Amino acid sequence: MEIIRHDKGACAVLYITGRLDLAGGTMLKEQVKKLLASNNSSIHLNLNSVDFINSSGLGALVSTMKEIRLARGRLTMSNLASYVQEIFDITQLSHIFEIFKTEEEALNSYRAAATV
Amino acid sequence: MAEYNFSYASRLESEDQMLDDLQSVLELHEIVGGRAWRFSLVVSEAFTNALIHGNASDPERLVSLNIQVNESEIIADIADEGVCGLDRISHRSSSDDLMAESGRGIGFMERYADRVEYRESQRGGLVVSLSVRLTEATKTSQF
Repeated sequence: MEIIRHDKGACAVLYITGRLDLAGGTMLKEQVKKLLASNNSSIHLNLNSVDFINSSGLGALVSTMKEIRLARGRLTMSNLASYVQEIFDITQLSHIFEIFKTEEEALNSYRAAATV
Repeated sequence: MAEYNFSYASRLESEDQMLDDLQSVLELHEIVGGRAWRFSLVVSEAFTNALIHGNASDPERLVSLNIQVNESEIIADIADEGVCGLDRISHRSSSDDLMAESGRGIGFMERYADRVEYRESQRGGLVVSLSVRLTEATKTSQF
C-alpha cells in the first residue's frame, strides 16, 4: 500500500493506493499519528485507488477515527469503490464515518464548517 | 482438479505475499470480478486469524494455505500451528459495538463464502476450509 499526502487548505488529504489490510492498516495508523503530532487533525482519505479492504483495514480505520476524535479533529473519506462501500454498509460503519461521493464534496464541507 | 500449496511465516507482511499468490492462482483459472473479490476477502480473514490468534504472530510458526480448483468451486484450507483450534472458534467473542477495532472477520467469512468449515489438525491447530462456487448462483451480494 502507498500513501501520498497533499495538503489542501487546512485539510491533509491522504491518497491511498493498494490494499487496506493488516500491513496497510498499520501504515495508515502510523501516518495519521504523525499528522496529529504535527497538529494536523483535519484529515481526508481519498480511497479511489484502494483495490482491497478487509476487517483488518476496517479496524485500522476505526482506530484512526478514534485517535482523530480524541484530538478534536475530523476524518472524512471519499471515492469508495462499490465493493468497499458494500463492506462499510454491511458493517454499518457507513453510519459512523463521514463518507462523501467525491473529494471535492468533502473538502467543501470543511470550507463550509470553517465559515460557520 | 488443480491444487496449490503455500506456507508463510507469521509476519505482518505475509498477508500481502499471500494475496499476491492468491491473485496469481485466480488469474490462472480466469476467476475474476465478484467471485475473485469474495474469495480473496474470506481467505484473507482466515489467514489473519491464523497469523494473529493461532500463531500469536510468532514468525517461527507457519500459516499454510492449500487451494483446490475444480469445475464447480474453488476451495481454500488455511491452517495454523496453534493449539485447541476448535475451542478458539467456539469461545470466540462477538461484539455489536460498531466502534470495535476487531471481531468482524468471521462474520465476513460466513457472509461471503458459500461454505465455511472448521476442524483441527492432528497437532491441534485450526484448519478453516472455505469455498466459493464457480458455476451456480452464490450468496447474495451485489458482487
